[in-house]
Amino acid sequence: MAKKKSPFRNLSEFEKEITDFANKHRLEVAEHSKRISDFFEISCFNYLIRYYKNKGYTVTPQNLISGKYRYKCSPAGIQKNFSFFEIKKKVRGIEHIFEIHHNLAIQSSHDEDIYTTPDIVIIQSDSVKYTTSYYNTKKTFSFVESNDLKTFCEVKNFAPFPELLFNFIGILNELKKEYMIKQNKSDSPVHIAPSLVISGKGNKPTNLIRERLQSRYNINIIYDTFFEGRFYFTRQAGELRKT
Amino acid sequence: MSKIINILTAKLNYETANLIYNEYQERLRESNYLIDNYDYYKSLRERKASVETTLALSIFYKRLITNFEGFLSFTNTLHRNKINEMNVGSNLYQKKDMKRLYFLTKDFYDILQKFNISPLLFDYNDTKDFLKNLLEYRLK
Repeated sequence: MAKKKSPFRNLSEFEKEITDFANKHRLEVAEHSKRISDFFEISCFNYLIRYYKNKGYTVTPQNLISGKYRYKCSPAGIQKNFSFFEIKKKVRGIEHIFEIHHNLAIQSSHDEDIYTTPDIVIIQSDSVKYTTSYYNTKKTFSFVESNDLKTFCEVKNFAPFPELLFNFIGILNELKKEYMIKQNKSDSPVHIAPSLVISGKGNKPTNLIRERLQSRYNINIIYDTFFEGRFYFTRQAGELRKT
Repeated sequence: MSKIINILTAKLNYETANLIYNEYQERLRESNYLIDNYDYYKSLRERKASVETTLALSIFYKRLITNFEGFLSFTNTLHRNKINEMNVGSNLYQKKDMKRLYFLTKDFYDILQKFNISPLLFDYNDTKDFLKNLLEYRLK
């Protein structure tokens, strides 16, 4: 029986295949590689859509611009010029409607006049507000009031490190201060608890920090998004903490 | 043949190429140190060129291909809702762009398949785990 091919047995053939691949796709790889951080955020956005779909919600893209889905890549820009997903679920005869947005500013839960922009937010339907008094100029600022925020996700395309994990608790404190003192807030229907999604794998220290923070607060810290982590949004979704 | 890492990063934008190249150099140094100094990895001593090429491919996979796939997965969600075009910043992605991206990832996986490599070989954080994955792979 012929031996299976491997980079150890067939190195020159392996290198030739890689070189042919690189030459064939060089232009596309170069073009798409400029948008890697957006692609990562979009991947996590898609995980969240799948999570809600698996939880029995109907999910529908909304606010298409000339028939195209327009993804908001940064906090800049007026929200009504971008698309989002609407999620709906009927619980005990009542239909609940929420929206999943990307890069939308949320009011602090401590002070009404300061805001921060998590990567992905789930908000009460039709709750985006606009003001022209936030900046020094008359530029429009889009935001959501603290009470209309259901949950949020921060996504990071790095390997986890301690400061990154603790910074997330700062955002949690600012946006959902009740989570700092109350372990499980009951809500109907349930949402995914505030989550930090990181592409890299944890090591011993960062795994321990994750364990401690998750036992202290009602949050999810998910590592290794493209390998083990992705299953948390699908077949292991039951293991994720909820609000 | 010139180093695979140079071939894989040629024409990438400076920031991404640098990120991949620096990670590769750092891990290669660590990998050579572990292979030269620890008996556990000694079976890889005569196979450093294979380790080097596989390492380059693994970083390319983790930094680029996984993100391309994640993006494609979102475009599939849009297709199911009969939306075939998407704007990301100033870039417009049409059906033909997504098709090309699909074939790019498919061609990458075809190489893995041809050489019996599971993407799980690339699931590591520490370089020593990559070497352990390689040792396990060699035993199969």
